[in-house]
Amino acid sequence: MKNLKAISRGLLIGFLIVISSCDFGDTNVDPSRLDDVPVSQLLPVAQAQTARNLGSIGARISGVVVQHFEGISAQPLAYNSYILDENSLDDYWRGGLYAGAMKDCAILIEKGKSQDIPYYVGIGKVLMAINLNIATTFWGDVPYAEAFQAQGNLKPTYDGQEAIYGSIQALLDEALDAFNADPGEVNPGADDLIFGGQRSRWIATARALKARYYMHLSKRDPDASGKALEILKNGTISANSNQPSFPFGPIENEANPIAFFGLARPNQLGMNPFFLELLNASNDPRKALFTKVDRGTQAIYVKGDNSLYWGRFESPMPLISFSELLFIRAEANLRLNILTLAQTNLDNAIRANMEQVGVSEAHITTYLTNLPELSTLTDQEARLKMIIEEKYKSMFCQGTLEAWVDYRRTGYPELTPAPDASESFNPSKIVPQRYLYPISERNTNRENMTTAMEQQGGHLLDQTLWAFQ
Amino acid sequence: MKHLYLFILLFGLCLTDALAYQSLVLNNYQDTELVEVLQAIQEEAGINLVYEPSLVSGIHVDPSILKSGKNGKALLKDALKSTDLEFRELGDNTYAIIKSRKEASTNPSPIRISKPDVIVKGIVISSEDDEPIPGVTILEKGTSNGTVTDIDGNFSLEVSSAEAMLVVSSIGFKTREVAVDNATTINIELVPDVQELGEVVVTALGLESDRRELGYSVQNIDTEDLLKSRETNISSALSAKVPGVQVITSSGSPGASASVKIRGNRSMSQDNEPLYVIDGVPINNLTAGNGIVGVDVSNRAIDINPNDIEKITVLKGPSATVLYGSRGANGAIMINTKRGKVGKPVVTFSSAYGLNEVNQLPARQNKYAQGRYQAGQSVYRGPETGETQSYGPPISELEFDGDENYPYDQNGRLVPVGTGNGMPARAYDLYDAFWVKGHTYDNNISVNGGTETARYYFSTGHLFQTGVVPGADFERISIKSNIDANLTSKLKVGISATYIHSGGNRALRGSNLSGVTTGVFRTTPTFDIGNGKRGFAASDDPATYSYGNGLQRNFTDNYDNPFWSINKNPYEDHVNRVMGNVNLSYKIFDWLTASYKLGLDQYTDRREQAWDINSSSEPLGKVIQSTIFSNVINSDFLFLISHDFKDIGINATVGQNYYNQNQFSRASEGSIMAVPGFYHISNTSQIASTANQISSMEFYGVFADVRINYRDMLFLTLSGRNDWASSLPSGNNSFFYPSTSIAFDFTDVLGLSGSNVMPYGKLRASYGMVGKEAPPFVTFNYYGSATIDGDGLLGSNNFPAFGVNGFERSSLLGNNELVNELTTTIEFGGDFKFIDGRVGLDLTLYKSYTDEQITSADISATTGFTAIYVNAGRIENKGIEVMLSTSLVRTNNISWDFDIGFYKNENIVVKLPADLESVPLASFTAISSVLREGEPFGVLSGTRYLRNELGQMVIGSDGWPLFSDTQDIIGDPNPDWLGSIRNSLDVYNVQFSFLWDIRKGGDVWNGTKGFMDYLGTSKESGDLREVTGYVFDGVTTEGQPNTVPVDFANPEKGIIKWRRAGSNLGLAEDNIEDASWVRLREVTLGYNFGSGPLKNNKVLQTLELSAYGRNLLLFTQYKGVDPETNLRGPSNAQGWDYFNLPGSRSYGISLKAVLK
Repeated sequence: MKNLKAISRGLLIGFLIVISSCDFGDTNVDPSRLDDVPVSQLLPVAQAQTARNLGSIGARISGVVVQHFEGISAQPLAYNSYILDENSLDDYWRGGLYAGAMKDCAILIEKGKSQDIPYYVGIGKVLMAINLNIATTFWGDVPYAEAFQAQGNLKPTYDGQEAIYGSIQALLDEALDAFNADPGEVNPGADDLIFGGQRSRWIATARALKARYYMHLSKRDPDASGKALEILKNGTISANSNQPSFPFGPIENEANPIAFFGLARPNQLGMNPFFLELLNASNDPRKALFTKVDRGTQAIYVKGDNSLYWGRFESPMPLISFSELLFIRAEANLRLNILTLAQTNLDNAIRANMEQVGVSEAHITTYLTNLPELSTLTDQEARLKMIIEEKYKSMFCQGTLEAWVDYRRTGYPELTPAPDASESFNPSKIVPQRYLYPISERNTNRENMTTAMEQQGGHLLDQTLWAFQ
Repeated sequence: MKHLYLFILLFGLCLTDALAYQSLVLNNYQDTELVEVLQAIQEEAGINLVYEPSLVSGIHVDPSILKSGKNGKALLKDALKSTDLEFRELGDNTYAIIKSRKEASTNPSPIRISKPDVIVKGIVISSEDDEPIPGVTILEKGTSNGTVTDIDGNFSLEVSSAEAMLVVSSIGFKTREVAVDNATTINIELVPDVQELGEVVVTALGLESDRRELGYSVQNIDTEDLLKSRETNISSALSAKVPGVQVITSSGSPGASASVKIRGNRSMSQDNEPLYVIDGVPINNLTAGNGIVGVDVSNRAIDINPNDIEKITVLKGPSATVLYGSRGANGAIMINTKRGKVGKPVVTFSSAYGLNEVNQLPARQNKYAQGRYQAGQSVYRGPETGETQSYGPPISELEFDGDENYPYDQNGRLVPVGTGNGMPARAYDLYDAFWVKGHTYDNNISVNGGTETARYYFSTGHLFQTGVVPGADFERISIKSNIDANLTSKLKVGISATYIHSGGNRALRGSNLSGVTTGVFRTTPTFDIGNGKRGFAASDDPATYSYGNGLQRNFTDNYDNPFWSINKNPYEDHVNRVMGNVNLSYKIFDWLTASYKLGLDQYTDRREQAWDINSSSEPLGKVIQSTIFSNVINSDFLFLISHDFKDIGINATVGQNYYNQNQFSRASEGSIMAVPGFYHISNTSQIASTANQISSMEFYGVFADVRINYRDMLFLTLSGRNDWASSLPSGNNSFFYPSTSIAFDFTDVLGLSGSNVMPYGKLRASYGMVGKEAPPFVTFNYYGSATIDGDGLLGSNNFPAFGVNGFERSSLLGNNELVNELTTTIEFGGDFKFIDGRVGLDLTLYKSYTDEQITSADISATTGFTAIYVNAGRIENKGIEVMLSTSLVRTNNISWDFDIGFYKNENIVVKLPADLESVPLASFTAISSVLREGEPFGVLSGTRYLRNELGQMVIGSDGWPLFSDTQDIIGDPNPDWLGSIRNSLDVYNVQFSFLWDIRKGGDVWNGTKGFMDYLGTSKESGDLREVTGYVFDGVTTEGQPNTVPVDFANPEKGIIKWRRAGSNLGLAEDNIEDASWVRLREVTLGYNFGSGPLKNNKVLQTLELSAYGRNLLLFTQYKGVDPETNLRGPSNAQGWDYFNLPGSRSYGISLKAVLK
């Protein structure tokens, strides 16, 4: 019919020499897409992209840097020697963060505000805070205040890292306000893949995240631990079962990115010998759940083998795990010299993680029994080292980004830089302290990016970011 | 709209002027020369006249007969009434004017009475193509006795004596005198006369024009040559044929696409390929799905059967293409197909068979085994470890252990020498095991004929080609009919219809874990991909590539065994296409014809792709079914105005065009196969709709083209067009563009006519513009089905997923203020003939610039979008095109033509949108094609060495060069110049021709070698592995000369030179190579029995046997596959070689018979 219409149109027009009208109707409107959608269609996308950002290339690279992972072949092998240039994380910056999850969140927040549906605003802000934090822990100064304005500002300036941390806390505070506001006419339900619209759990999550980001500034803010414990007093994540986990599914299209990478790029990423040694040294029962030798490599994914926890497509990805929260408490307690609480939280944190990945009760007890008590250690530093090392183990695959933050702010675990580290972007050949800004920013927002580089003293992997100085 | 009114007004004025002028001239016809009246009859009545000029000179007639309104034949009768001449009808609207017979008999020559009559018979043929020439006047010298050849070139003449001299003349040929010399049969060959030769070219709308009259450069392509060299893809066949045209065929695989660029790239982010126009109707030349992964797909011009082509003309600049509007902005390939000729049915049959084989491959090392540097040693790690590297110990240090149960090798596993069975390890020749010879079968048959009222051409053709990869093939079946009828003396109709089925089995290549090239180039030398077999034998035996349990037999899980890839990763495409047009033309007045043409081009392209379970890239199995549907409708309504006045001839076309292009694709992707080897979507448990893309565009255009011919000496063309395009915002969707050209034939002015030194000369100049619209759907923001990505190394998750649906705002920021882009071209040139017309020179200089480019400009992702279409930027092209053609020898039996073509284009990106640093055209981790201000189009940017201000390499404290943290320009894929040399020899009906194709400069990124270096399979990584103590030439970060020696490969330190860049592509700068070449593009050798021993055969008109070769010789420094290659096919990103399929050389024989 369409042909016939076009033919007759052609014939008709053919005999008209002068055209009176040049109206093309809907010819230039794409019938396969929409000009607007309800928030319920955007929310699952923002959540899925955020969860993916926690396990995709940013996590693989950071995992190699922090020696959870080792590159076996192809691209990951280059990460071993810190060959990380402006291209390495360009896709991640664009499609994962700014024009990915963060854009989704910005739209959610804006629509939530204009349609007066505050819970969407709240979830949008929580997710925005997480993604913005990934950006600032990778690159330091990043755009935020002037971002997401489309034609309104094609070249957003970069905010200093201190301001970004301020914005992150503000986002979470505003999220809490939004969750405490009167519900709107539309509220999240099945479209909230993480909590099914349970407001109280989002509130708990926002508080846990606030504590996490306070602790990020442990080197900058002497009151970080106090602030963290203070916000948690109001109630927060209380069990593995109510941690904010994104439900990856058992099929390729819904797969956890860690396992998905194992399937799609076999034999490229394995467990780092350093991490393996750490597990061996403490006879950690999680070892068998994290890795096995597969044809000569220390694999973390083996096709068709469901015994490895992070080698399963359906392993959920927590935005922040219950165990991480307990480690945060333990560290804060320790820093405030409340040793008994630190010990309790540490034990519970280890237990929570072991339960999450499926260690048997007997093994958990044995492990905890054999673990030296914090009080028996010589000094605060040794205790901190133990807490962070234990945290480091539990963050495998679900918190590599946080493990790298912990390393940069505490120096634990004590990593030996790669012996064949490339000098090119890392003259001092240390464990990288930051990543290089992505090439797309150089191409599209050069002036602002250059200013940010200058303000941070250059553009090398071995420069310490403001937060970790 | 303002422009339109102006345009109509101007054109209206022209028309009125023309009418007034006509009557004025006619009134002044007093006592006009017969020759002028004959010319007028010829042109106005549309008939062809042949006569000897001396016969009609000096005779005057009354021109008023021209106003009688009679038809051509009656007019002719009137014109000759008062003379001693008469005419004879030769058919095909052609009449010969001869001396009246009654005149001859009443005044017999005295000699004739005294001697007996001698009858001479014979045939007159053209020396150029051996075709008979009808209508040749043959006069007995010194008498008025003569005759004219019939439609088959035959003549019979009574002459007065056996010693008579014949004067043989025909328009377009040099007059010859031939002595009868007692012969009764004389076969006469006439040589074309360049001074009078008017080469017909196809210009806009499929109309034919005389090349002499055009003020811009156009070039015809010899279709005979094209056919003889048996190139499947018409686009590829244009290689080295026309200066100004650059062709890059993606690879030598059957059905591979070819990119054609005419006078460089103009548009930053839109298509730069020319428009293909068949019989005046534009067709779709889409290349869909050519990416860094996947297969070599076809460009859809491949559906054209070369055997149906009568004429190809390449239109280069906007003056030539203004009448196609924006679609012709990149030039046009005008193709007219064969049509029926008046006469009895002529059957043409042709059959060809050929072979093709790989012509060049990247060299591999054969010294080192699979393995890696581990714990200070080079350790052998066999297939059971899945090791991808070939940095193991020397193969000479290993031997087999003879274990019969070892699945990876029939001879057992490899163990250190002295610990096995003594059978030494060896490097397998993977290339020998894998590549095969391809075959081409091409059969065509056509019949044409007709009467004065109806003519027909029917043809069918079948092409089947297999490739150098076992199992890869391409097939094309075409059926065509062209019917033309003169319903009345004024009304003509024509119908043309073509059905094509094409498609094939394609081999995976590129960045593709399942690619055959991945397997062939990456596999370690100590693994036998064929398991003791080669080629088809290996491919056909499942034991080569799999074990009984369905697992793959390979050296690693990471990449597929290429034999697995062939058998288990099928990719098929099936195109069904209908192209056709109907046209009507009505002669309203002798000077005015109205014509209408409606063309349709519609196809579906159905593709089936699958990965069986246990394939590297899709271990769980996957099936993709997709369909592309394309529909193009084009309607042209024209008035053709043609009138000659005393000194001035006018040819004008004014018309209206409607164009509608609709395209959509749909794909379903099914994952997780249940039953191995069953490649249907029902066999998968996860099904998603992955593509639902629609593109639709409409145009209206009005145009006019007026050509003024002053005394056949000065030719002026004025044209203009206004388009309305649906893809532009409604307020900005109308745009006008004019063009003009002038040609000056100075032959007569300078009195050169008839001169031997320079018998012909023409100068030409043109100035023209052409507008171009935006791509569809870029003026608004959209929300589309969401994908979860942000990780270039991992596939995306697509919604619906997790039990819900999801949408996401497109990352393209809509722009509702776009206006059309505009390309302006200025062109100067000339056509010259020297030395008796034996040397011809066609020279063109041009400059074009494209402004207000509609470009997808990247914007900072922090805006929430990654790109926006904007109007900005400027690209300039300037260049020179030279065609020097010579006839070194031209005798009756021997001719030798020698032609040289030269083309140089300089391309520069003058201005980029906004203050963008660069515009990426395509990127792939270590390499990208970019636009950068002040640089040529699409320069290659990639990872590179760190250099100081003096350009010296900066070397680290460990002695190794440092790398720059930014990618930057490392190569330019644009050639410095292209050249061609053609020799055509015709010696006693043996035709021999060869074409050299020369390309100077232009870089290609040899990513294949980069990866092979990285894995240790390349020759370089084998040969240079033992280099020790090498000191890189460069300075330390403090500026001191580097003195620290390094070992290229040191197991103790775990150092490998080729792995230092980190990326498995190597450092891009290391792999930029000069792709200059000299190649023997075509060779043909043929013999026509029809003009030789079978000359007088009643049935056979032509019987030609020929042998052909393509790409027989290739000289290049390039170290990979044939450097005429591109991973990205006909896109704006050129110069990529990353596991491309190799090029091929081919040769074969063909037979052509024409039966009458």
